[in-house]
Amino acid sequence: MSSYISINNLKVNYETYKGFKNVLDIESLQIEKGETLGIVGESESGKSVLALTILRILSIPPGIIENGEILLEGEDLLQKKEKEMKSIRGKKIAMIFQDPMSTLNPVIKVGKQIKNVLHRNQGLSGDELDKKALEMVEVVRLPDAARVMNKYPHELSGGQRQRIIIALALSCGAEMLIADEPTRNLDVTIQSGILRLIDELKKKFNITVLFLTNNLTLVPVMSDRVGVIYQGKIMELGKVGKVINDPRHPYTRMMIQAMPTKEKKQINLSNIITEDGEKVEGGCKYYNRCRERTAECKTEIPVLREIDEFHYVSCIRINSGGENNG
Amino acid sequence: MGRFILKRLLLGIIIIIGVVIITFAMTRMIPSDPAAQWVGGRATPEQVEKARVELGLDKPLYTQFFIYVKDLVSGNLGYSLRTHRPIMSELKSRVPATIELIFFSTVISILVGLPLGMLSAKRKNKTADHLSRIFSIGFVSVPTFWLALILQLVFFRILGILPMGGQLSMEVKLFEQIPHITGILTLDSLISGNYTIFKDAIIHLILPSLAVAAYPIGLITRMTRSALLEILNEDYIKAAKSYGLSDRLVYWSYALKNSLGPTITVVTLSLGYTLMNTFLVESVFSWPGLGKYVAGSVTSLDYPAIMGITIFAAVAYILLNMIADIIIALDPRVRL
Ligand SMILES: Nc1ncnc2c1ncn2[C@@H]1O[C@H](COP(=O)(O)OP(=O)(O)OP(=O)(O)O)[C@@H](O)[C@H]1O
Ligand code: SF4
Ligand SMILES: [Mg+2]
Repeated sequence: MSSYISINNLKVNYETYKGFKNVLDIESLQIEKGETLGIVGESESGKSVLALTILRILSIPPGIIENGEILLEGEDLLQKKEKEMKSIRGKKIAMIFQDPMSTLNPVIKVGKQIKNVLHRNQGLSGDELDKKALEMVEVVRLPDAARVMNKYPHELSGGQRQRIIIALALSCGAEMLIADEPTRNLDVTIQSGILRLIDELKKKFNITVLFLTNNLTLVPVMSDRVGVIYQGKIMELGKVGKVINDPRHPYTRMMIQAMPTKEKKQINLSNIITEDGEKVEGGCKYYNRCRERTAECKTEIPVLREIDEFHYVSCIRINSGGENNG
Repeated sequence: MGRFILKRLLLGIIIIIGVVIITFAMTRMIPSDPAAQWVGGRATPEQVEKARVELGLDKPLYTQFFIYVKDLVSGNLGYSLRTHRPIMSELKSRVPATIELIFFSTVISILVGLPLGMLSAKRKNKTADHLSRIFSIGFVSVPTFWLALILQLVFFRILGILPMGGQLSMEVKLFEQIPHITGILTLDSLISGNYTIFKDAIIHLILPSLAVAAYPIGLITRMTRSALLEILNEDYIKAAKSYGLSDRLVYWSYALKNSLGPTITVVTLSLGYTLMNTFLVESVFSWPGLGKYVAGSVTSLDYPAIMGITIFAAVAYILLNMIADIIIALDPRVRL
């Protein structure tokens, strides 16, 4: 069975004044039709770059797509002409952007912004358009929809804006939704509300979701599988239950130890390791923070390997079947 | 909004009071004898003395100032030392032509500069962008006076398709009934439905407005380009693209709307400079506006006239800035 999206050997760099910086290096990542794939990684790990690259709206320069392919139902998005991409953006894949402050156009009323998207993607106009727009605002559970439509973004709260952004993405009527940290900057109660909403809408409209987040605790709320990304590389990938209950990569383990538990609601800061070793070129990207590193990790670049059924890890010290060796 | 306008008006009045004090002080510091100027070169010392009393120049300085301010409030700017006519009526007969010129050149500069800047941003680093940048740098740096002369040379002397100067052709002046409603010729001829005059007036406006418009065209082009380039990198533009919206909508509505603020600011900021350029251009094209009057007043040290013009310029500048602020305040993000 071929996947809905299949990313192979994707390398994205940024041109900086210090030279090229590799920000994305994905050997292999599949997204199946109808599933929700969570990608979790700390800030700067390349989540947004991944989203922007799939939709081909990454600013180039400073970004550079060095090589790779992103197959959407077998067709490589990276080879498509800009014109062809227009029939993919919004129509096939839509995106919920991470920052509710900067994603809405500040000088256009939110209702008008939704209508523009509906008009373009669903060809509606007139009364039908007005009705549908109102419906979209109601779908994301914004009370007083008619009044909200007449507001400018700055007149709305962060949570309201985030819901409008979801409404915008849904208005595209796409098959797939990329949700780039859709609940960042929101307080916890609103966060779970919005995630549950996305999950519900996903089921209702039967969409595939790529859910990007820096918060591992949010992953089980709405993902079937999860990938752990570190400095642009997938470190571990598998079913959510599997990865969370039996994490294999040192980075994933560290993240899980730091997760709040039932007994301890706070994030366990003492378990978070930042740099405590030298950086290496040409070895494992996690080397300088890894508790289990050895001399080999300095020179050998780990590749993503299947160590268990549907469970992939990128660490040279992990063997298939179970125990870490060494 | 109402409070904002009121505040700006009050501020404007304070600025104008300042301008009045400073110009009054400065004109009194210039070493000249207004009374002697008033009576002319051949007058006897007795006549000069008499004029001094008549003009109130024998009184202490502060009394003179209060008299001036009192007259000013009642709309009396005093009498010109050169022509002995009331300054107010001299200004009234000349200001409309200057306003007309500034208005047309501003319209031209927006109509040319805005699309040029947009084209430049859209085709960043392509040929169209390079060309428009060369043009805009050229327009900003070319001396207006020189440009006016070149325009005259090319379109009147060489090509012979546009008039050399003035506001109307001789035939039109002789055979048509010139309407006087607002003093702005194009507007008056339109109101009265006299299209012969309107057409002739427009033809005479082309060269001087182009000369005045050059500088703001360059400025607007540059400003629009850089504002748009910045905006095109914004998240909401990326987002708009990700929803599959058409380039046209993204560019003309989503991006352009956001770039108008900086452009309007630049236009108004350049208006002071434009006013000065207008005076120069008017003298090249014998335009019956303030320009020639200003030059004449300055060279003959006609201090009441100089003060009147300065106050007019200050009021105009303050009003224009206020209009710009109001336009910018229409941006929903600006809360007053
Ligand atoms: N315009 C840019 N120029 C240079 N480097 C950039 C640029 N944008 C992003 N990067 C780099 O790309 C890397 C990945 O950034 P990205 O925004 O994808 O991270 P992220 O995982 O989305 O982080 P966050 O959780 O903070 O949103 C970072 O190292 C970042 O510094
Ligand atoms: S390869 Fe070595 S350094 Fe990298 S995660 Fe595994 S043990 Fe740590
Ligand atoms: Mg991000």
